[in-house]
Amino acid sequence: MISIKSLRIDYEDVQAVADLNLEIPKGQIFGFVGPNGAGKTSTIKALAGVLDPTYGQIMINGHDLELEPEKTRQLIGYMPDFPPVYENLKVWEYCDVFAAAYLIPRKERLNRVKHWIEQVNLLNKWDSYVRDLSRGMRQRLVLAKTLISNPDVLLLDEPAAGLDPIVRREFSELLKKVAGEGRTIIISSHILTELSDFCNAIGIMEKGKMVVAGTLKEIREHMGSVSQLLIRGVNLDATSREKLLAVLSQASLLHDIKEHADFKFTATMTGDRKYASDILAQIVSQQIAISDFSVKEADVEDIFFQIGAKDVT
Amino acid sequence: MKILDLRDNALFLQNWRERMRQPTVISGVAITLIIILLIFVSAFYGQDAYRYSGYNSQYQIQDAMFWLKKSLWQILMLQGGLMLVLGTWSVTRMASRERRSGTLEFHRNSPTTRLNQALGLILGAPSLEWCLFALTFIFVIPLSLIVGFSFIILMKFYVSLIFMVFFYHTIFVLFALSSTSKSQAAFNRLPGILMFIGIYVLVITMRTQNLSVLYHATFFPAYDEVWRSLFPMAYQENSYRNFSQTLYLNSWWGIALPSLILQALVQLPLLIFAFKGIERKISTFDIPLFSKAQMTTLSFLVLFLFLGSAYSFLIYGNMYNYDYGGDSRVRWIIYSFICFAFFFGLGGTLLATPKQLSFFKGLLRAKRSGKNKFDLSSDSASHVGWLCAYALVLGSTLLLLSYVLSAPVALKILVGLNILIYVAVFSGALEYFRLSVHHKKTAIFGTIVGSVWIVIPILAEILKNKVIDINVYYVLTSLSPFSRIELFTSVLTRSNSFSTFTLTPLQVLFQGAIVNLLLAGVFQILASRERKKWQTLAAKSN
Repeated sequence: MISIKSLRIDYEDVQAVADLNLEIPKGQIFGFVGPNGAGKTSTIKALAGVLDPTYGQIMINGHDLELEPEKTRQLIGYMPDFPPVYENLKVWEYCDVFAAAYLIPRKERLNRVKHWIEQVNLLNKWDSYVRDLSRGMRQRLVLAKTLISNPDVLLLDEPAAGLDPIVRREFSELLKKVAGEGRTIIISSHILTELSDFCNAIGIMEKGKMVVAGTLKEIREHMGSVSQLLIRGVNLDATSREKLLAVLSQASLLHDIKEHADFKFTATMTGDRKYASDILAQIVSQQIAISDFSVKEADVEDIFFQIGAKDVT
Repeated sequence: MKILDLRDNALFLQNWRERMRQPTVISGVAITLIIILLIFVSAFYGQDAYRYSGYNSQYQIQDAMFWLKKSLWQILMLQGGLMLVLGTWSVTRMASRERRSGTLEFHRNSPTTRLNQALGLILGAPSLEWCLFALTFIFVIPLSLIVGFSFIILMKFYVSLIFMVFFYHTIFVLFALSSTSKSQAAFNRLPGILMFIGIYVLVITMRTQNLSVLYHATFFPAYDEVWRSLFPMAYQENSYRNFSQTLYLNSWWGIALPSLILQALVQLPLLIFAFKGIERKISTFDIPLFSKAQMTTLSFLVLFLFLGSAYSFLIYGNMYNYDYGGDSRVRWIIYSFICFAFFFGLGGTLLATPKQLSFFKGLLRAKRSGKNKFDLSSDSASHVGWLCAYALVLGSTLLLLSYVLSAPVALKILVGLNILIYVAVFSGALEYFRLSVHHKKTAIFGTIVGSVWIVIPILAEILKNKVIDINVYYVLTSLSPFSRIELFTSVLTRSNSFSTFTLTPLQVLFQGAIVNLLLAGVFQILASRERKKWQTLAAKSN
């Protein structure tokens, strides 16, 4: 489990993180969401022990990062957004160096290196120099390096930054595989759909503060079960259209009602599914012909735009 | 993990693998062998042999023993060059690359100890040079046996050289990691290369400064002993070499010590400090190399070492050295002491004065832990604590200087106060600008210090007796420590060189102290105001 208490991080001219409190249970895959400068990278760096916070306590599996740094670091795997590499080492040598850094016994090292290089699909590049790898391959190599110590906690800062869509998808698949192995993962990303795929909790940061954090369910509940209602009418005449708009506008938990082309209507709903069924019953009772009625629960992107993007410029 | 088991040391492995690629090793071996071949050839045909042997040059070619001795000597020099120049260069290059590229952050994030990381870097980066060094033993061992070179002297030479190499490599890693920003990592640009060359020029200069600690901080004692043993006849004829065996260069506080002990005495404490600095920099880049307590200890240690050497020079110098005698020897000691004390004061101030962020962080941490003020010795604390510690170091070393030299106590106190006040001016101004929010604060600080300490005294010197009155001249020149070091020396040695002044020495010292005290007061008040601003901000901060 990761516990952050009153974390504050300052830079020369800006306060990057302001009194952050956060608890991430074991095995959770936690997505950090927020615009540039929100404090995601600073928080991850402080968790990794590479940035000295102004104050605050960070506990990893019960160990204090400040008081037991060596013990705590053994539990962490950290991958920065643009990870530096040793260009003149071979792929296996690079991983072996970090296997040694993480105190893996010499006899076990090579097997461990082989296992993780295979996991990231770089076995065919075993003897290649790092300088000859593409950007996507380098990211995979650094992921292998990060996983080589079998860390309980994985800190991934924008792991897909700078990758093209195809490589990003490949990398995303790889992360999903890693995520399924019971580790606690903290991942930050701008690509919100990337997080939707495998995060079971998110935290939205903005201007150094955590706006909201929790599982997607908790956040939806916190936000009053915000969901998107979509209705598509069938060749609605003027009367039916007005009837439909009247039903929607009379529903107190519907907001932001919009009419689109082809008799498509959308609205933001803060009620639950039972409330949606009541609206559907009213539409049916008024004999308005519809071909589609759906409720889409808010995903990470919706939540971010609803909460996080309000003050984001 | 065993600390010296390098097969498990990540940074050693990385450096070893990068530097020991087959093509690099082959070309390194080939170049070394070619150089050794050239050494044999040049030693055989060299025309300067008579200088070493005392023989007539026309017979030298037939003298195989002399040829082999000369070759051995040059291979030993090659070993030094390999490790002290090329090895040192590799260490600094690899260390600054670690800092610049950010790969060191991965190691910092790992559970390996800082000591292990430092050792990996120091031992791994010059791995190619170590291997080439080992290769040269193929020639050194048979040559030593053939010429009958003393095994003990050879062993002493290698102990001294290897310790020296380790010392230099550690110091240069410290330099390479000393920058606070990645882009300014030392040795990545021309200033770094110039600094590298400058340090070697300094080392060579240190050899001739008549002080045992400076001489034993260089690689010369090791080579001088080998030279004496290989070419005894030439040693007797060469007064310069003769100088290397003088008692004052081989003693400390008047006690004659073996060369290796003296070398350890000088280099071991500095090595420990350098390791501490490296460990600090690997832990967090944005902290100074040394803590305030470490800097205080280091200043005292260096001045204490210096005074021990000065004492030896003073009591044995007369007997052996013909260049220095009487007043000039004392004068030189005082001059060097003042320079050392002053520059350590400035250097310590640069490390001990917090930057804006560090100071603010310290205030917030103190507030968080329920304290009104933070510990004066912490990295975030104001320079005031350091200034007090420096005053103690200066006072105690001046007392020791009284043991070495006899000068009136009042004058010593006055000189000490003057040095302290100059450091106080510098530290006050530095802290004021570091804590202020001026956009170009470094440039403004540099301009002000440069103007007050260099430009104004030069102008005063030019305009003396023409435009400005002699009293104004005294005031203006007293602003600069550089124009006063000579005066302090004259005052303490009570020499006649002071007679150019129309005031008495005491009057000039008092006048200078008052002028600089006012200046120090202004800067200290400004710095204090800046501190209060940040304290108010921290108090308001949530």
